[in-house]
Amino acid sequence: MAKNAESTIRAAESGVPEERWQRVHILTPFIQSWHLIVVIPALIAWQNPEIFTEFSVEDVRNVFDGTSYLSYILLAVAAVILVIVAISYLMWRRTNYALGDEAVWFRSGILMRSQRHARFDRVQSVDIVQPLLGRIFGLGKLRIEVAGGADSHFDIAFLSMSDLEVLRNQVVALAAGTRRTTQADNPTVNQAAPDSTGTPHYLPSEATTEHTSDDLHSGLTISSANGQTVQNGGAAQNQAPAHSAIPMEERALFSVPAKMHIQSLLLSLSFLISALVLIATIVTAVLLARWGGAEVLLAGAAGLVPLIIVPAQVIWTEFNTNFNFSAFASAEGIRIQRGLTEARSQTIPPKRVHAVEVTQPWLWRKMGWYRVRIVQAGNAVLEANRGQSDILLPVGTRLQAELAMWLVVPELGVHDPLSFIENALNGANDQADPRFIATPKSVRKLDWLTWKRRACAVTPAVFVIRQGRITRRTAFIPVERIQSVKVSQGPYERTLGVADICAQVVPGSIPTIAAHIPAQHVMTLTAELVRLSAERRYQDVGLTWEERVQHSATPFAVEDTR
Amino acid sequence: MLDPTRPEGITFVPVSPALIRVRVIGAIITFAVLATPSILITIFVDRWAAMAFIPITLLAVWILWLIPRRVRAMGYYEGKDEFLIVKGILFRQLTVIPYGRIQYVDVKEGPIARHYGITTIEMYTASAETAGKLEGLPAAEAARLHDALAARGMVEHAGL
Repeated sequence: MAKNAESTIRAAESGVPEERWQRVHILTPFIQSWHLIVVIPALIAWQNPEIFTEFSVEDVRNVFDGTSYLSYILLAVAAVILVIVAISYLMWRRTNYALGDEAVWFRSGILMRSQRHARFDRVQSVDIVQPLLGRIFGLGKLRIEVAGGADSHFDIAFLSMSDLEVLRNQVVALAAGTRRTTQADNPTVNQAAPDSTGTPHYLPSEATTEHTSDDLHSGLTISSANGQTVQNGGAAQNQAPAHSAIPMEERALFSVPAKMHIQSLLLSLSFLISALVLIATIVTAVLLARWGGAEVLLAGAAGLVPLIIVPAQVIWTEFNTNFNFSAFASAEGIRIQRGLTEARSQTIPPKRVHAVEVTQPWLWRKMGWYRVRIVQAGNAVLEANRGQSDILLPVGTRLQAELAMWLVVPELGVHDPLSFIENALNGANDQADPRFIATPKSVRKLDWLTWKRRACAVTPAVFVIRQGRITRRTAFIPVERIQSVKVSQGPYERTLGVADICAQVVPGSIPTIAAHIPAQHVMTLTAELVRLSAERRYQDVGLTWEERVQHSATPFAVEDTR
Repeated sequence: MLDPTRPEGITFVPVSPALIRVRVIGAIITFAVLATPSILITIFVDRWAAMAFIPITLLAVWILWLIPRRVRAMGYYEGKDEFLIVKGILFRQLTVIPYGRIQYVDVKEGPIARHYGITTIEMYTASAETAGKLEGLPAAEAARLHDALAARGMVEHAGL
């Protein structure tokens, strides 16, 4: 590799002039890998217990003569520590951060060099985090959260606390400044109802608080509404401007009565199967006991224990978590209250919901019950700590399910929303609904169980994926929440002329793959999804959350009159 | 036949063939590490240990045959509003990432790759499943793409 004046461009080093890179504190590699330095001697000591059992004063005296084995061990340990220190030093030299014009940069690594940058206008929060060892030395790390999914933060570690404060203020100021100029330059970006998860939280007083109700956090207060009947809320308040002084009262949306909840838990296939297996085991044990004696019964009883405990545990957890599930519409979003032994309350800003799934297990079909789950965008750290649920409605009637859906997907983009929903939830491919792109009959070879139910549909507002035969599932993904689209095709699919489309959204438990779509539709669908996603992103969002929940009694019916 | 993972009218830019060499070297190193114990045992202990050598060799031969084909099937395209990445021969994939969705771009190079002058860039969106990894880009091209993607993402970003 020739090193001429314009030396070989290292892609992992471009972007920031060399002199702006700054070093982190020298103790950083020690803090990050202290366990290595401790573990290796500990491992050696553990595997060579003779060091302790046969320790004699002679050995110590002979250490420097080289005649005792202790000297070799000490030498080995010293060599290892030296190697670790050398590598740490090299790594320290290569760990740098810099404040560029538009982003904060961080690079590290000797062999595997990596460089990361976070644009200032994407920064959501800047926190100072101090792990235990850092606290001892007075060091900490700067955690920068970038708008996004699971792995969307990076740490600049470690710096002294005073350096951290200075750096944080700099990043915060730069981020605020950039945000202001981009808003000024891009008037098309929707400013009336800023997208909740894109709004950065870098104002110094807020930077260390967690952000749940961010969308309407800017002190939006709305005209009050009488929670009971909608008509009383009425026309006067509808015309009130978004920032009036009277706070909005909470309005009850739906709740799950205990009896329905318990019934729904018992009507699950897994519970029935475990009950059947339990009965079968008891019967077998009794029959065998008549033949073999009492010992068989005892042995069988031991096997029965997990068969009883495990399903009971599962049902109890589910019952405990979602007991008395109730949802209210508050100024900040959907407030959910649930829990038996541990009452929990969480607020879901509706803009944080990126996908909705309505499922109906086989045994609920006769009762007409549905379950609604959602995918929420949020920091991975937040989710792990607070146990946010992804259930919007654990069990409910069709009307309640429609209301739950309407809360998070305000419009479906079709002129007959109710029949569209009916087709989406309970339809099948033999109904020729032109909006739904069905899997062709040839897919029967690939998926004989559910091919008749598999279909997808794209409206100007949502991407709908219908699947499942025994447990019916339908996913509704607002097109503006689609981050990227992946088309994949396996070899057998190629012979059948079908492919899969995956609309990738923020991480969550709802599958977003539309499988086995005919190839000619796949190409047009992909293009349309990408186009719609771009269009909707910049559009006006229509009614605000408050306006929606106040003057609408029946979800989706409002669209019929438009 | 109509291929939904290769849109019409788009010629994908293939990645650098140097990636083949990089991957082959990586595969050979892995193979050497895996095969050394059985080779040593065969020579010094028991001839029959060569039997362990056979499946590893077959696997290595198959992988070495597969690598050039896989690398030639990889490509990318800078569209007007999206970035497209294709890969795969038997299991084909096309990933479409709108510029406004790109949160940040990581640039990485390992020691062998650096010797051959190629780099890996990876685009991250808010979705954890986005397969925005592109290997085998010449270093200059990677730097250019890195800046271009970051700039376009900034101009077009529209929150989440």
